[in-house]
Amino acid sequence: MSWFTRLFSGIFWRRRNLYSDLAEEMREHLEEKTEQLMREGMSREEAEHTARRAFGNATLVEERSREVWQWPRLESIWADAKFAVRQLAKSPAFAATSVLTLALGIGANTGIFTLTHALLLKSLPIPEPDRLVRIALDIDSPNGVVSDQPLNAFLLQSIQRHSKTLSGLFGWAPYDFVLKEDTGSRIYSGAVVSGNAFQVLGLTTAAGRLLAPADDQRGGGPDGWAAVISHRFWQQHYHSDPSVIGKHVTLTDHSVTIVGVAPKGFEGVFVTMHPDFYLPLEYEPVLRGAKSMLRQPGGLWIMVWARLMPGVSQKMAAAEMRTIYPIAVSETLPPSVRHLAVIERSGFAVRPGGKGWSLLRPQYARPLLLLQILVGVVLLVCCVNLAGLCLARASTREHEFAIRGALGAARTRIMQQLLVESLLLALCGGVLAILFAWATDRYLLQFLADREAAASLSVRPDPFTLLLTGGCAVLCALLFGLAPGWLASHISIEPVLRRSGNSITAGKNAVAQRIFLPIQVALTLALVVVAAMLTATVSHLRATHLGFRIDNTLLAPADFERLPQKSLDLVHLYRRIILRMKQLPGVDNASVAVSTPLHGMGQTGVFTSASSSKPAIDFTNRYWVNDVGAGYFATLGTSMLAGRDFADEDSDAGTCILNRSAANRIFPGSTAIGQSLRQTNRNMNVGKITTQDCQVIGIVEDAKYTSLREPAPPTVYLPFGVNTDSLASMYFVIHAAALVEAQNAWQKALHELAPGSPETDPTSFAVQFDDSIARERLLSVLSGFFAALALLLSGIGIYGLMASYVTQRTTEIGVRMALGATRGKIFALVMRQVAALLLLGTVTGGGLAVFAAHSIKAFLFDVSPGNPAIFACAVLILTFSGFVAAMLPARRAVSIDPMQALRSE
Amino acid sequence: MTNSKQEPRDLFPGALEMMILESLRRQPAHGYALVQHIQQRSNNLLQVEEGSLYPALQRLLKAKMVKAEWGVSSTNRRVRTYQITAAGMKHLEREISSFERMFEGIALVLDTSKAIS
Repeated sequence: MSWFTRLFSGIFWRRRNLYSDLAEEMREHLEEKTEQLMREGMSREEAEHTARRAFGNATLVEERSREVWQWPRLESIWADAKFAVRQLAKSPAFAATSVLTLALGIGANTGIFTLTHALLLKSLPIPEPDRLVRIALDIDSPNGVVSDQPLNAFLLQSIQRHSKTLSGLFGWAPYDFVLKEDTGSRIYSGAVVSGNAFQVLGLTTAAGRLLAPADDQRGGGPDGWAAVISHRFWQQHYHSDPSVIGKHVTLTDHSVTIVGVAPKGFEGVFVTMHPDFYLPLEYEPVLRGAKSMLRQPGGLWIMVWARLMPGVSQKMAAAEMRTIYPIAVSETLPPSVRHLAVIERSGFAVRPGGKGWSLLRPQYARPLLLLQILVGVVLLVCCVNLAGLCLARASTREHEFAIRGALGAARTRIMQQLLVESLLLALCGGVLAILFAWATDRYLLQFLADREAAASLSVRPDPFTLLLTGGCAVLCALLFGLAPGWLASHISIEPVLRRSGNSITAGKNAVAQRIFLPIQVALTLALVVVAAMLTATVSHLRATHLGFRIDNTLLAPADFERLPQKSLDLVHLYRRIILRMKQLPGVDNASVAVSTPLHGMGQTGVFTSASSSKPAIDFTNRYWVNDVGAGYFATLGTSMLAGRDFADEDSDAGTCILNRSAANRIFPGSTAIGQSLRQTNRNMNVGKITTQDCQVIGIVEDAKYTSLREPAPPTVYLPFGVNTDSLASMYFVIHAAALVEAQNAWQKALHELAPGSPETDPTSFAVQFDDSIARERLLSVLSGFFAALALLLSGIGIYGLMASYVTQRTTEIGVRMALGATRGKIFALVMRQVAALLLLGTVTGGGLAVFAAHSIKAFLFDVSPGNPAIFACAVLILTFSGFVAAMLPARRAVSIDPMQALRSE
Repeated sequence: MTNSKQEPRDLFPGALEMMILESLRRQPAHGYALVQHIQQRSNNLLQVEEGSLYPALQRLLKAKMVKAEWGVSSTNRRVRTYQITAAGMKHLEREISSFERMFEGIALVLDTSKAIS
């Protein structure tokens, strides 16, 4: 026996002794009093009675006396818990239903909250995250404000020179590196960062050293190109070997030195990425060569973070940034660009940076908030449902409570016991909920369109979410345990004890139960309406006219950056690969394009009719641009309305194809074919304006590009190869009889014709399509699930209420039948009850649903929040499920035998 | 007071403990005897619910102001006899003096109000 158990058994032994002493003492007291009274002439019975009365509630006295020795209430709670386990074991169906209900309700909350926490709320693992801010560019374009845009190295330095409110500024740009080893090459995600980034963040190294400003110099620092690796990479790749410090590795064709390991748990400042390599910003020109952006004042590619000086608020920093912006612009941009309206109206924004940054945040913040509210409502439905169940159970246990009251149990004691029971259920539910949440989060993450983000978001339950789950469970227990507890403790003992079996009158409980049901029905109706609207949104989005087909189409990104072929040779290589793929079995068409529809990325350009004299640079003349190969339209199934396709020859240069709306806008009232189109380019780095003319050779039907929600944008299609900027990373578009054949053809052609290029992950167009409506699908699937859950719970609630209604009224129904009521009448009697409750619930729920539908308007597409069909459907579904649930108890009522019902009274 | 019938009144917190300690100072006693003693000494003005004595005794036991021992009474009954400890004595003296001051205060207030009306 350990000293610990000895101590405890010692305490309990002593305590048992105390209690038996007390009981004996009290017994002796009563004896003595009785004898005394008998000596005064009372009969034994009378004397005992009087002695008891003078003594008071003996149970209570004993309890109070014991409590003196107890850690307040702890022992009584322990006893209640033991009793609750026994009680619940006696009714396993009730226990299982409640625990499962709670597990689903709490689990849904934990699951959504874990996601919310991981994406929106978690702070970076750095000291004083509150003082870290992010400085971004908010661009005020005529199409609306585009916020949170990155800066560049020149702006960063300019702010650094002028700011007096920020103590450290650093830039950060995500960058993927190719690590070359003996076993082959693999892509790892990473970042190029200012030399002082780790210092400003306040991080300490796990091994070696972190990057320093001395590393961030043209040509490298004292250790050559210094690289810091992530703790995860160090563990998995080098087995935490400290001798890796100083090792030279080949990263994207250049030798770098590993100088240290980032601290454990640090995943960079972009929350949905997990970089394994950190290199200085100056390494960027080495990587990108001629395409480097580091010395270009016009590009925007570096996210900037900074620490606020002590005593400086974010507001003060923001005010200072407003004064610095014009200075920074005039210092970095050429005069012809500087005074563009779009640049003069834009400005620096200072935002909290302690929680990092993610592109997914603006996309998912509101959907997650909506889901959080929905799961909250689901939890409320669960609690209301359980409150009803517990009330029904409490009414069958009335007798037990009355007896306990008669034996001297205080009201609070009975209430405490019921609350302990609820708490026990809730905690069991909470434990299951964590498992449930963990499993569902894995599933939910598949809805995130960003695969890297899905992989890097940690959804393991951490202390924070566990705390929340616990809190949820306790709150539930209070919500559903309080009402039954209060009613049970306020039972009037005498009438209950006098009554035997079933009574004709329904007690207070039945009334309370009936209040809960309409609440539940109302909440459920609102959930069903919301789910129906979100689901309708997804099906409407799927049914929109796209202007292209998505089945059996493969999108394969090319990575030809490191091939020897450049410009025209590369164009010819693309053409050879396309030709080869078309020869392979199953492939019926293939082409290339710079951007693919619904990818979320695209380019725009300024176009005018060459014969027009209007000024060219203007947002009204901005059009989507896509560089495509011949057969692109045929491959995607976009129909040619007039003219011809590109020929896939070098003579394509100088021609272009418009979609219908672009043709109508640029050449209103005349045929576009044969006319001359002028593209105007302004170089943001030097401010030079260039123009380029091309002849329109064809018109195609409109096709959606960025988003399914927006109408198809006016688009200009240029032949690929004329612009060589993104020539090395175009997309192959392959349509085949089956996706597998498309993929095989692509791999085969690639191995034959471009053997040295790395293999990339192709995506099917259907997946890209689904990804583009990932948020909507997430909302639809989850709200559908929650609505179904609420419907099921309401069904259980209605069943439970009606079952206890029939049980309580068995005698009444017997009497009615004996007096000649037909079975149909009895059936109608029960159904009338359900109908009344449903009506009440539907009316309140209708109002709630209208409110809910209007608050989710922003998420809807082509669905009006007042859509009567959806409301009617929701009411119908609810009514139907309500009546189905009431069917069983109604049938039992009908089959009551009047003779037996009357005899049992 | 318009009510001619004497209603049993609640004691203020600590009063029962004080009376128990005072009784025990005179002589050690068991529970039943304590009740009898308190009722007799108060000329039956104080109706102590007999049961309420026991939680109070337990509190005193816990605070080590009394100690208890099982024994046999004069009527040959097994009884648990309580005895006041030194700590109990000290506590009682303190309580009595503070009670007397409080009582004096109450009496003064009641006197003045009578004088005004």
